[in-house]
Amino acid sequence: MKPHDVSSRPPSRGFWAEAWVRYRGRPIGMIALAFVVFLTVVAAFAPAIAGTKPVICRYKGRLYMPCLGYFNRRWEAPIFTKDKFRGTYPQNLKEKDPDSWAIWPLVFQDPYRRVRDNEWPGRPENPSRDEGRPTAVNLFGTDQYGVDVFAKMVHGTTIALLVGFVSMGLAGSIGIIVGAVGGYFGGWVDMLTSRLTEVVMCIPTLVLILALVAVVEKPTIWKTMAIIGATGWTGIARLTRAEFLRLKESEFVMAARAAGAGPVRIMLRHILPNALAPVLVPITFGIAAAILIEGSLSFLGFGPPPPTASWGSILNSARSNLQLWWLVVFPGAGIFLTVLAYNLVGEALQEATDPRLREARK
Amino acid sequence: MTTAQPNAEGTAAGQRSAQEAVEPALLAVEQLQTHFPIRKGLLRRQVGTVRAVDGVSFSIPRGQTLGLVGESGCGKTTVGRSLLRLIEPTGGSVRFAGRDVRGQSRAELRRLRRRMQIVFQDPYGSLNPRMKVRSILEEGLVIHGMGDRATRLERMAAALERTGLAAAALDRYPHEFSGGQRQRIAIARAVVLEPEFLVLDEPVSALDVSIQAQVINLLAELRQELGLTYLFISHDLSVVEYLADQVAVMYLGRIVESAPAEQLCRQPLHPYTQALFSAVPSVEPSRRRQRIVLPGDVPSPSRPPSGCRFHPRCPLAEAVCREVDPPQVDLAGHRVHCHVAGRELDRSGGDATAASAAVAAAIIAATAGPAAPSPPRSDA
Amino acid sequence: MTAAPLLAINDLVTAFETPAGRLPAVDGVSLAIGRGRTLGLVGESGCGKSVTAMSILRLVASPGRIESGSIQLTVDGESLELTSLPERRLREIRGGRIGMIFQEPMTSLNPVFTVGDQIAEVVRLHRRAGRTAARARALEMLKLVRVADPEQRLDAYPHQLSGGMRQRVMIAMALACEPDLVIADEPTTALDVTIQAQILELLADLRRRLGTAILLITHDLGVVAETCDDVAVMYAGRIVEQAPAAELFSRPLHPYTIGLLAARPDADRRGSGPLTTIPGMVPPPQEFPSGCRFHPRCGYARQPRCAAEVPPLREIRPGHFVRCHFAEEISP
Repeated sequence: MKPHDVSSRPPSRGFWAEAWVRYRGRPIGMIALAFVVFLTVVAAFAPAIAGTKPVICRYKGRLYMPCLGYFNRRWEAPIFTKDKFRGTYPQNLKEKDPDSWAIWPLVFQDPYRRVRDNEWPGRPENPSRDEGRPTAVNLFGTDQYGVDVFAKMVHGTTIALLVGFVSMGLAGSIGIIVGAVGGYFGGWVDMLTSRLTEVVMCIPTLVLILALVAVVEKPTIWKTMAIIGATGWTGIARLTRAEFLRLKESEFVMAARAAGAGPVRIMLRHILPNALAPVLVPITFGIAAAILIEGSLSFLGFGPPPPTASWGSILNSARSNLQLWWLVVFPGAGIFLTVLAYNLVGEALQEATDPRLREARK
Repeated sequence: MTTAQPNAEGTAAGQRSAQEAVEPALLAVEQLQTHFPIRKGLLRRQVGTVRAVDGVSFSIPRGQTLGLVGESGCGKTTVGRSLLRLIEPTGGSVRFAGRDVRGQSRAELRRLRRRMQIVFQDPYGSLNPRMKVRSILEEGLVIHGMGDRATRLERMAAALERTGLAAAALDRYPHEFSGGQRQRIAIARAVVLEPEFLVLDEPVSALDVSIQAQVINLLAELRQELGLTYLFISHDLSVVEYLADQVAVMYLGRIVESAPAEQLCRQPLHPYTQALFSAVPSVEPSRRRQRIVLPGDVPSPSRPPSGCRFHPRCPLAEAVCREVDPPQVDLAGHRVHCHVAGRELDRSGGDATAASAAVAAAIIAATAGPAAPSPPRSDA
Repeated sequence: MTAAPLLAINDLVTAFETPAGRLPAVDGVSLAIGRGRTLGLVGESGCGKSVTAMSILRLVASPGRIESGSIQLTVDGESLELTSLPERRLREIRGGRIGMIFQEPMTSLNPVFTVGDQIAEVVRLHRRAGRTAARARALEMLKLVRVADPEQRLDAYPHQLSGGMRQRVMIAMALACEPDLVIADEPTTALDVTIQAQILELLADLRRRLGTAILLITHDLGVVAETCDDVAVMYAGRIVEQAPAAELFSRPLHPYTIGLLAARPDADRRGSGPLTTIPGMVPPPQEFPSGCRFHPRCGYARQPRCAAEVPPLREIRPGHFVRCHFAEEISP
């Protein structure tokens, strides 16, 4: 018999490569994805975009990157503390080392404090309250204490993204593990995990977080994320369970068992890759939901404690000063666009990976 | 190679009967039972039992093919999976090469599974869509520690070539192949482990007619070249007749009749077998039998009828059939479970041809009935 | 055959517009079905037999489109061109003049309505019948298709019935308005042989009693041989052979038909060596070969003619049409 020759065909693409090709064919999904990538870039380079600490500077013969202090206090070289800079770099650098030079962030504004008079040579103190409307210096205006809103927004991006990724990373891990174990082993294991899922589903996330805020002494953003993650996995678990229930009966899993494969191998190599695509979609939607929850919390005043910048906390500061419209519009738009982008990414992902939609296209 | 029975020629021992007497069967199944509990409610209380396989016995000598035929729901697929313990049997014994499959530990079972492989019906469902053909074939080799990287590659290429595919297929995904080619991959996956026994679970039913013949020929070729032993499960009598040495007919979890293929086809004794043969539509008018149309549907295996399980649909059912499970009548390897056929055999003095004809005549007389086109019957 | 057959399809082309290009699933098919006749349309998956059937009722799913050709239905002495009939008139034809039976009765029956409601709905759509009259008709139909306990089954949901029973209900629905033609698309493929035997006998009996013409679409040559008057064999979007059933099965002329018949395994072929096979596989529409579409798989093919020239459908013997350049040489 003539062997069936396949070598003449173009190289094979795997499922994810195929999905990516289909995803690329969706302009709205691509725009949304580009926006998410843009936010990630902004978060990663926030101190270089807006800040009062140099990105790179040469001081007393050595190079420093004081802007890293925005990520972690300790990453700001101790020499600046020793030399009593007190966070104001432009004049101190010139005064204490005339040979020094520095590359400054794109926008010289601080997310945590009001920029003082002549801190940047020739620039007056940030306006506050009603005078703080958007100008060329304060792109998004200033809040009632004179802190620049643009700088706050840029630095708040980190939190908005972290909340999404960390809480859904946690929720995804828990959900997939619980769902996989329940769906694969069935019987009393399934009954246990299903009941657990139902119990957790009944816990209202927001109330639990408010309770935590009341009990715990220092409610950090990490604890909030942990709670969003620890309560938000139920939908993922139920979906994973359904996928595992369906796939464990499939003939390719039977074939793997017939080849001698054990449960771990079957779950990880055979079922999980097939179950991942449908599970990924609710995770994307979950990220959007987590961002909204964090926004609501901060708005209610239960967000991260004051020095931390978050979009929700800007909204919170607008609560008692509604005439300062820029305190509402910019963070509101930020939250809205981000949530929208994640939802659009999720939708496009669903269309790119759903086998039923794929069959319909054939 | 065009031999009458490739498999017989292929094995070392030429004389089949002599071989059977000396060597025990490769696979011997005794009173196999696979029941599934029906559970309901929050506490998953058991409210019933599906008797999918309910006391099935057969044996397959090395190098031979047993065809297992029956309609959907008769339990034939469950038998195949129970042999490999892909579904745990609930009773009876399965002996493979002298070992009790049911008593094996997990590690021993793994070793046994290399020697007993399975090919499934649906070539679209039986290959993991996220894995390349290479990973699909390699998995078993890795699990069983067969060879290093280079030898594994050699084995995989050889297995693909044997099944009529080029080695270039290794770097492809299943969705790039047609149904027939996928079934070849599934067969290569089984063969690459160098098994002795293959369960073929409706391996050609999902394929087009012109492709079916290709795969059937491939299976016959592999059987001869590799000396394989097959359990060939199918609902298609013509395929089974062509490929099998021995045929067993299942109905509702039991084997109702088994015999060498030609004999079963020429002298079916059980009324169900007769109906099954007569129902197969044929293109050749000469092969067309008087069609026996059985009333009603196969009952649910959770509530099998009393006595002979076929009696509610049997045109020849008598009082005794409703109450007494028919014993097995064995006529030189032709085994049948039927009160009526047993009696006819007695009457004809063990002449299967005469008994088969008598049963057929009785069925035709019973179904032709008074009104010409059969009136509404108690259909359920 | 009379002057105007019940249904005459002429040079039908139905193609699918896909990102991969235009796929001609049906490419110049002509068929005629006489009143009360049974025509079997046979072929393997992807040959276009189902698309042909769906084209008759203009039910081809998007992105499929009837591009050219005509489909004429002659009822009560009036000829209707189905390809250009307004949608509203076509709805009267669907279910009224032409009934349809699908392969999978589980998915083609609506799971949330009772069997009686679904049959009654068809009746009420096409005849101004009241609720009670429609229900009475539904009961009558269930009796006609020999469903046991029809009074009880009327209020049963599809999932409460067995596969064979559901197919009977589908037949009852298709026949409820006494159509002139029933299109049966693989009506027994999902069923077991003994149930298939029941359904085939029922169809034959109903045809005798009601005089309905049947277009039977199947891949099973045996089913066609036992139920049809005429047979058309399709391959890769075209009809390759057409003849009365007895003629076709006793003297097949097209290499594809000959190959299909020879590839059937059965006990008689035991011991006569490997089965004769048709090499290669059915080409998907994007890879239809040039000339005669069967030539790459054909043992009789001669170059360059078979690859270059599309063979016409020729009448080799009375009523026996073949699309092959060398049919005379092949014919035994």
